[in-house]
Amino acid sequence: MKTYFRKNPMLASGIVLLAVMVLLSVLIPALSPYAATAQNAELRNAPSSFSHLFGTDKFGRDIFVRVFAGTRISIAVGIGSALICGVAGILYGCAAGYAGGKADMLLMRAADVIDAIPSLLYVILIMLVMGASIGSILLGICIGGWVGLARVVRGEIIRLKAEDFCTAARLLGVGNGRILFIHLLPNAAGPIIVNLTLLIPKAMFTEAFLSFVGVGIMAPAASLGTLIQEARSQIQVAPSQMLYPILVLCILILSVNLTGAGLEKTIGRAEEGRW
Amino acid sequence: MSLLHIRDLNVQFHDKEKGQEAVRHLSFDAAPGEIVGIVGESGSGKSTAMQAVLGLLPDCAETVCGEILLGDADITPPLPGESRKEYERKMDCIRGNKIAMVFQNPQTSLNPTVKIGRQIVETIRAHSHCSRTAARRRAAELLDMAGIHDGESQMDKYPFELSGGMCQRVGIAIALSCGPELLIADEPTTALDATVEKQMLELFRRIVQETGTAVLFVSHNLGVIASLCDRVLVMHDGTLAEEGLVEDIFYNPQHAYTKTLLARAKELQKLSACRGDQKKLLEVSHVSRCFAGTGGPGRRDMTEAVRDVTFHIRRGETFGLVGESGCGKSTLARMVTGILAPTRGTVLYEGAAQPVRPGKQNRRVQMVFQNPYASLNPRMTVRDMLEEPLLLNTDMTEQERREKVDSMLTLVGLDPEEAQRYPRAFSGGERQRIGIARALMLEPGLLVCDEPVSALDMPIQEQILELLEELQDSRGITCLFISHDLNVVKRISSRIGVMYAGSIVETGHTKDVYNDPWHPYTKALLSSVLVPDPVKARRKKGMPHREEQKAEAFDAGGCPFAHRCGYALECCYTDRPKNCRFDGREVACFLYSEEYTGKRSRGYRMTSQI
Repeated sequence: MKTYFRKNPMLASGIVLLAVMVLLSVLIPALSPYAATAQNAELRNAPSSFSHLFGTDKFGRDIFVRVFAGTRISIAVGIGSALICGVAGILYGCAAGYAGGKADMLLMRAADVIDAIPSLLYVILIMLVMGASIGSILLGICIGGWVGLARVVRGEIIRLKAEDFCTAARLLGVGNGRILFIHLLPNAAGPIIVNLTLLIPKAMFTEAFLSFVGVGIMAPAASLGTLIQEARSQIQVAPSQMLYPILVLCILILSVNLTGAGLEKTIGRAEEGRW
Repeated sequence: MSLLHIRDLNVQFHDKEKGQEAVRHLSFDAAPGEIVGIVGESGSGKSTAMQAVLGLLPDCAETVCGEILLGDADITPPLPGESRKEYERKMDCIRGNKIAMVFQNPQTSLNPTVKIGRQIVETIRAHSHCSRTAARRRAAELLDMAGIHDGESQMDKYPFELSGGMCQRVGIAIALSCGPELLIADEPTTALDATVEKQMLELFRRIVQETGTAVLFVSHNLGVIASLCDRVLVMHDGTLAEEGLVEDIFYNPQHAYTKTLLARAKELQKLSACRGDQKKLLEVSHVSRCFAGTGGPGRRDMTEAVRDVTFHIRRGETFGLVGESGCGKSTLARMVTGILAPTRGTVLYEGAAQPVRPGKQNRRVQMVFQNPYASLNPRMTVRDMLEEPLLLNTDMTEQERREKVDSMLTLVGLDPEEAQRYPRAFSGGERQRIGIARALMLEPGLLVCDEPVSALDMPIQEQILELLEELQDSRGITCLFISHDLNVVKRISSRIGVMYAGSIVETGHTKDVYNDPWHPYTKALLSSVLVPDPVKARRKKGMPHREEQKAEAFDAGGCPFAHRCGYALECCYTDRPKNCRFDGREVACFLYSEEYTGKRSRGYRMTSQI
């Protein structure tokens, strides 16, 4: 562990931080005596204490529980959108890159059209139509989110397709599917993994932003964005109410970014042949 | 009186934990006007030593040196830990002014976005105070000295508009721009074609005579060293194995390593035995292939990479295909394997046409690729790679497949124990063996070898060629062997075809073609072969040649070689020569046509016309 930490401090610290955040977000709302939405009129805007670590908000709800309930939503949105965008982007990019020629041209121009419309517009539209929920946020983020990854995958596939080992495989009678998934995709794994990791913080930030603006997760459900929004009115009475969700959001996004940057470095090293 | 004086040069690379000694205890001298050749395998420390002299090594390299003197100046690099500031300042004056360098790859050592004229002018102005017009005049002189005669007009071109040879001439002109006392040339001809290489060596010789600079000429090619250098240093594993006059080294080598190096080179010189029977295995008739240019959908100019090629390969023989880079050899190879479809003409394998989509029937033609680093999937173990064709094409059980892979690895000289490893654990020669094993997995009838040894060191080349010969003897495989290296082709093939600009200009038995070339291009190509024998190499005369050009297929009619040919007739520029056949030999040249030589009787024996 120690040597590993020294070899790639970014990746190690990123993963440790992320693991801690995931663990807290799972355990705290489950084990805490307070529910995330339970109000307590007697304890409004209470400061930090042993029974309420981060204090309470203007309705007397425990902020400690609410912050980690919000982290749950952030992580779910981040990982969920990375998975959906990942699958869509890889398949689309593979199809375009491997087919080449006219099919490639048409597919990529269609992707450009989808990408040309700002993703916020999709999100707000879907919110209006389907109502505010994690599902509709995910859908909104994923409609345009896969295009960047598809471009990366397409580029990699086009580059690898021209390599000699691909020609050799074709001469030996390897079919298209096998060439694509056994010979080409594993060799493109590096850039794909890095891009996939970097989709996560983007989605987390979008979710928090939407909730803050008021078109995302609706009160009384706790999301980091709504928590910050609610604390805004109490900033003169209890500024610490805003501090905690912001801090947690920062640590969360930092940990994912660190993991992504660390992975990029590791993969770069691995591709040069030094593990 | 020596110009460069190096005593006890050591270079060590620090790469994280492991250190690596690249150069150990190297000492030598070079006198003004002397061409010193430095020869050795890749990784023997040739280039590292040269970079150490120039002070261009990266920070992870540790240089410990007794002394380096250039004329009167002391350019000994500081010991590790000492301040490099003063040394760097000193070297800034020395580099360019006193020592200049010519690099291996001419196309990447010039800035592609700046016109060559400006690149030369800027170098001149960086080192001496003179006006722009004076610098431009000097640049034209330098280009003329480097063998570019219409320098004024060439100066307005970008590097990518020039051929590799022309770029290298520009690189030499830049190196000469400040009248250096020492010219370091790091494999300057390795990336060039044989005919251009020969001209380049003549150029180096002339420059030394005219300017009296000393030249350190690094090369792995013994032929180049033999025909150019006065003195030779043989390097092996970072140490100086032997040093001496070129004649002493080549005719009376003392060190064991030099002896093996020369013996390997001599083996490459021998002719291969004739093999094969009369039955035709592969017939290629009137094949052409066009590629659409990049002019956009409106104005597409088609380039014809292969034009009207006809040849056949007999069962069990090795047919060598030789030609300069860009002459369409690889395109032809791809058409033979069926990866590319010919635009016109047919490729018949055992009398049946080659299908374009690789189907069951054309697994009979397999290919060995040029670059052993790109031809193996880096994410598959060797065993997976070799088992894959069996898995897809045969019904073998796992046990049978395993045995087959093991026996194939043994056949190509690798240990079956190593099959679990990934390609990056193997050296270039070993990878090429894996590539050959993979091509042989399905027991093909025809093996297309596209420059299989060009990326390898000379001793490894010989090993791979021996392996191919053994395989041919034991398995009766027919081979189409493609290379730009005449020595290699001569070594392995029983018949050869010479390609120029997309057409085959001459075919025949290797021995006949080599001893008595008929086509002017074949003659030019053969006269540029460099033999590792100083006396013979210097006796060889060059061909009458004209300004070099890119060897592309011309859209206009006429013989593609006419513009470079010293024997061109008027009809050469207007009509395409037909193939003239004389028992077993074919030449596409007007010198051999009936229009030129007159009507011939049936018993007429054609001899060389040039």
